[in-house]
Amino acid sequence: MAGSRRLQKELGDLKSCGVRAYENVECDETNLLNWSILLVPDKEPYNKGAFRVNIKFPVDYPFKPPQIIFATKIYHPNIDEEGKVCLPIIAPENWKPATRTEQVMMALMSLINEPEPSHPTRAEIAEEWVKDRKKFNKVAEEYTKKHAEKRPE
Amino acid sequence: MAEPIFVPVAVLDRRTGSRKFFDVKVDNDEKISQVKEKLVVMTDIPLLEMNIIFCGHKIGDDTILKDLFLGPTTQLTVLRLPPTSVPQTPSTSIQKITAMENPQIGSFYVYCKDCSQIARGKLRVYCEKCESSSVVVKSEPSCWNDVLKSKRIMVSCENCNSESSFAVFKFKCIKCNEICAPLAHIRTNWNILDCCICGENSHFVFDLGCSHPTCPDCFKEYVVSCLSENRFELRPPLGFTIQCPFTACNRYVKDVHHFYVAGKEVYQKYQQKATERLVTIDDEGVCCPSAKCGAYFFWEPENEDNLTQCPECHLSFCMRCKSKDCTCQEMDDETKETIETTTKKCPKCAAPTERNGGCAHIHCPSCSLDWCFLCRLPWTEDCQWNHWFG
Repeated sequence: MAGSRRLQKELGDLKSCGVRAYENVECDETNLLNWSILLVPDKEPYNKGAFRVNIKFPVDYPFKPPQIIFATKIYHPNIDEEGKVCLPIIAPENWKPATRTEQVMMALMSLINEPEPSHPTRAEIAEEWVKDRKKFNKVAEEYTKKHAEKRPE
Repeated sequence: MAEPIFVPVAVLDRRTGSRKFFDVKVDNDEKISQVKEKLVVMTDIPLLEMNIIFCGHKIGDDTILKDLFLGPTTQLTVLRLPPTSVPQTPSTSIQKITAMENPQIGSFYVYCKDCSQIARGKLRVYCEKCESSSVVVKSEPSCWNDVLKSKRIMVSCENCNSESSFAVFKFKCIKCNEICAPLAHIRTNWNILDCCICGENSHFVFDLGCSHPTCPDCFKEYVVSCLSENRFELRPPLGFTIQCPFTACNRYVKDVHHFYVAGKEVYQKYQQKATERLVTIDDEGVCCPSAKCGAYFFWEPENEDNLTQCPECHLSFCMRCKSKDCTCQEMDDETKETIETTTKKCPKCAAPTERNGGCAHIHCPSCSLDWCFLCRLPWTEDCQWNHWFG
């Protein structure tokens, strides 16, 4: 019960946070536990499109962390082919119940903009990011143009 | 109109050396001055020479009795000093003490096992030597440690006449008078802050000293979820404890009595897990493999056959395979083989660990060690750079 009140408030807060990169939130009115956010990164090589992520909150939220899955394909060292992302702030061993979704989104955006090659889920992309940034940027940008959604006006 | 109560009073007359006990019939709404008037009639001690001592202090005349939260057996002490030691300015010193004393009483929270809940607590002070409550503190406690740790505050005891005794502080439930564990992390939510978890505000909050208030319901839920998620850590000297629920705040619950608030069953589970953790970090610690028992104990290393017996259920089992039907010698044990081929052992606690995706950085849920799945050593800067493609 406390969880649904908090989710309602967080949803409102996120919609009105004024941060273009993640303010585009949708939620099925009948199920507050599933959100969909359109991420709009500003930095290269992901600034040519928008990425949809699904956030799934557990029934015992906020005592357990939400799960984030990329619905849009993305070429990134820390996001695997299934859209799973290794984000420390929502890892079960780090999760703190006072952490708000907006903080999670800030962490996600900073991971997108600044990959963490020390914890890669796709080692070949991490290697490319470290050794050949030019090539990485080119491939990631093409990938974005091909798979990402249109950026909102 | 309050119910009349009988308060036991010890009367120590330093002038005559006599010691008498009375039960005084009073109303909870009465002032100390009114109680004194009754005692004048009963004891023949003149009003101006009469001091009432309670809770480490001389009590001011204007104090109302119910503000002292007297329990049914709480004893007040009346003291008449010898002529030479009657202070010249008794009224001012008494007033000063009264002003300091009243806000203290009842502003503590305790966990009362009798009431099975968080309750408001009252602080009582006794003489370390004779256990009497007829004491006056020589200095005011100014922080939690002054009352939680022993030998920090001195008293002069009117009962055993000692001037060099230390104060013994006890916390009691104001409802049932039972001695309780004080919960130093709970405070009244005087600045009406929202709970950092649910965003609602409550009358009192848990605050680990970092100003991240948590309401009692969320704190209980947090304790329960940390137990089921193995988030408790062994942090000597604090014990088996958890961090503040606020993002990135690494303050810990400093006194494990706070975990009482999650209820008896949860606390028992907590104690079991704490024991489990303590035993597993020791090479000779072992858990009984019987599903009905599960007791933790230390293995006696003199058994050379690797067999040990559970002190609780007396089951005999093999230390190596944790089975009563030892299969250590049988190499065709499929389960054992599967575990061996699909897992690697945590370098600290040897818990078999499977990597089912993600990066090589493993956080052991059993002993909390961060380690590298590739080099099987604690996670370091070097190891991550050398192994992330492996």
